[in-house]
Amino acid sequence: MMSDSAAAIPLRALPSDDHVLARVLAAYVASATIWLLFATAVGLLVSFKFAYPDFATTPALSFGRLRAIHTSGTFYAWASQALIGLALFVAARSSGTRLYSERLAWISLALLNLAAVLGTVTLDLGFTYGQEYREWLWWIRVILGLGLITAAWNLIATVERRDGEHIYISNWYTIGGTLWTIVMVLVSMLPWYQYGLGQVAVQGFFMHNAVGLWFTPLSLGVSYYALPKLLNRPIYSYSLGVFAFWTNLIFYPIIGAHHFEFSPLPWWLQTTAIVFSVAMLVPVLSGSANFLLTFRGTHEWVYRSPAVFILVGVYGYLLGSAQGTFEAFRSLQQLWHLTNYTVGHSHLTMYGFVTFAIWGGIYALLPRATGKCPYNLAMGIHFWLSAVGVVIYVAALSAAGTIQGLDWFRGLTFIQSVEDAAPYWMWRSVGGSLMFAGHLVFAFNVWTMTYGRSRAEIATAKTVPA
Amino acid sequence: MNKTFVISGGSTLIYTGLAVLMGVLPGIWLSKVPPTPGLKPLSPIEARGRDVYVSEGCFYCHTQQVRPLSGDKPFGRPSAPGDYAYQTTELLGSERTGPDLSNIGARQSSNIWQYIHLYQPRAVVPQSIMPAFPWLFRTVRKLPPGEKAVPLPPQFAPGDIVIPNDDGKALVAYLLSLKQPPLAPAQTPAATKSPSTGSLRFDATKGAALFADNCASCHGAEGMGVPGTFPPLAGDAVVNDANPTAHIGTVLHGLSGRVINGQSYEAQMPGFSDQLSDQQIADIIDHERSSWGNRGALISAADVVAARANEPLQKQAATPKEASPVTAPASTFDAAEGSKLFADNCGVCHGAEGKGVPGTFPPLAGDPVVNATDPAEHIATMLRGLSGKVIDGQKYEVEMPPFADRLSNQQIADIINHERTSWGNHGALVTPAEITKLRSKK
Repeated sequence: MMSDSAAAIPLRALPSDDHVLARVLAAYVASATIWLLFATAVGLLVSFKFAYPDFATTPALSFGRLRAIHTSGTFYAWASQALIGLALFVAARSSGTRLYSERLAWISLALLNLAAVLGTVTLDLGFTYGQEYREWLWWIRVILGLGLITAAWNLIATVERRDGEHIYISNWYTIGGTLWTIVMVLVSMLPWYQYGLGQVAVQGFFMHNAVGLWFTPLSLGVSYYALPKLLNRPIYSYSLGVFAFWTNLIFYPIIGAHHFEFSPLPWWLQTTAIVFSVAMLVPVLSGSANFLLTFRGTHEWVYRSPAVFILVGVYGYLLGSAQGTFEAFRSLQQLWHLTNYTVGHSHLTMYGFVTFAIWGGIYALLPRATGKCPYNLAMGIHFWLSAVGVVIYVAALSAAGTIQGLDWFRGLTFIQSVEDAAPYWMWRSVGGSLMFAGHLVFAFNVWTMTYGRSRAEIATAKTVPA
Repeated sequence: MNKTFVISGGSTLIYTGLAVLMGVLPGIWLSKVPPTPGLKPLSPIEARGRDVYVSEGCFYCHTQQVRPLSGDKPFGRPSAPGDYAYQTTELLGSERTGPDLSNIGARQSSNIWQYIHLYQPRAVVPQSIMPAFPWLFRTVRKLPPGEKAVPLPPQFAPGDIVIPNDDGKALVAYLLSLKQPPLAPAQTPAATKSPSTGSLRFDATKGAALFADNCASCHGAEGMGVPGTFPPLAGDAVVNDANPTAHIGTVLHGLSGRVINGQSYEAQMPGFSDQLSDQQIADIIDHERSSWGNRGALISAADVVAARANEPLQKQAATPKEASPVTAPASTFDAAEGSKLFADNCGVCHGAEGKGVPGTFPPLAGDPVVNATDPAEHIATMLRGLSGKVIDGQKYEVEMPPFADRLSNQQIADIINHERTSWGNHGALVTPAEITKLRSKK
């Protein structure tokens, strides 16, 4: 219905609004970056505890508490804040209008930060809901939910101000993702159907949806705007993006039970999840093909622009999601489930895909908002530290998980599997250290793009109005 | 307006529908699974211990789900839906960096071991990477009345006396409460398979593995024990005794309060008679008697059977010679293999005696499908599983999983033949070729 002509809609800038939008985006990104530094420092500390279990033996620094702080911090503080900030910017710019309400944007950011601070403190004190990825106590998740509701409101109202009839595809993804996540938070919070095995079913549903219907659509949505900006060409196929949008929506919610294969959950529920895990190849392949075809023939200068972050993000999306499909097969799940392979997979997706896509979005759009560019060298250092780091990280844990699974399968003693994985945990820490070093450089870049001074010149084509 | 409404409203409506279908409805339905018979609700102190377990994040490294896979066998029987009836804040977990704890109360029943291990895991398992939890303990100068000191090995003791605090006690009470209720009625020790081979050769690898799983956490991988807490086996008089009676008796029935070599040991050793088969016990004992410089006379499973029989009445009922009437039918199959495969794959639900669990898992003894001359339905059930079928007027809720992907044709034939020749069944035997045929048929 809305073919490529739609993609070419004018994305105009309204200079009068620039300072508001710049202020909002800069604050969201800066706040998110602080959380990134904090949460990944925690992750790094936790990774060293595998080699030095008696290091920092106090309740507040114990593995069991810090792990939740690392995951919740990266999920609901770093990635969520950055993505909402970018989504607000994209909503206004792609609709050629001003932000609906600056005030509402501040309220969202305040709520998200309030939830993150309270969540971190309570987790460190040992208060937890005890369910992976939704550890925050219910009233803290209410605050998070309110942050999402205000953000969704702002996004929709901004898009409603557009002139034409057409809504740019980015906004489909960002608005949809935010609304679905509000439903998801609600479903995961109500207690009446969450007893015993019932809670297991809800947990499987939630765990997967938190990733697939929040981070995935928002990251894709932002990339659908940032990439055409960077490459100065429209997205390859608008219809393919729409197709991926609907298939992602329909297949993703059904596959949660694949987190509990061979568990006492009903066998048919597990089988259904596996079938739709295969179906997920449809939106994944169409989504990544759409991006990769947009890149076609641009090699020369992609590598000197922030587009390379998005390129890695697209590969992370493709590889991570395809890996997820294969992991869901019972034959492979037998080997890999419950091992460190899963941790490798979640970093390939949340870092290799989501985080790289966010960085691509920030490097592409923040300079267009503030008029300050990062130094190319610093951006390159950030890129290589993080990219090499995550490759080492994922490779190490994939190997560790495979070895663990084989050890169990061969009937070796359990402690043997711990000893055999140990060297790979050391490599994981090496990868993690590089990633963290990359984050420090990224923080410096954010500083130069926002509140600091930058003497770097905008490197990408100036002819594209933001 | 229109368009925003369609995209955001329409997609959210779809999502809400799917969320209800895949999240809420399964939640409502599975919240009502009745508890496994024999499963006990937690006592107040155990419930408090569970809160400690949750708040310290134990479930990030320890699963509580035993899968029907060979690698999960050391952790207990496969978990059943009803095992989680009282477990809200479900603790199935997604990572197994440490061992599964579904049945830890039975596998490691010594509270003294649990205390030492929580205070400093490396005091009992040197290679462990588990965090230490010293904040579940307190140190005192003088032992308060009614308290017991945690007997830490000297190099890990802080100097003062260590006793668990309330959280520590609650956590250990919870851990010890984690016992899987048996699904089948009292498992008869697998006394069946003949010790008649007589040869005293034992399977050294099996013995070592069984020892590692069941004994090493206290007695140490090298049989050195933990001085003052768990006695060493290397050089122990009972282990090196030519007469194995005391050794077998200890493994079968446990030991407590015994003074060994002038040292009294507080920790209680659990008995293994219900958890291990005769062959397994023999393998462990032979491993102990031939390792770390020990030179005790080796034993066979028959000796364990004899030792079991020595004890009064009640256990005798469990040991009747039930040499299965496998020899009767003319057609041949590997009876030993069949019975082993049955025990590994089917016994947990259908019971070692094929009696099932009334109302939960159907019996196989006397079942018409098992005794039918045409084995097609029997084979199809094995290959594709079964659910919702009414058998003998009884509806069974639990689904039987399919085995087509897990077992070879030969293995499935062996199991089916075992079922068809045991417990009074007289079905016609099948061949692997028949399985192959039915596999291809959809």
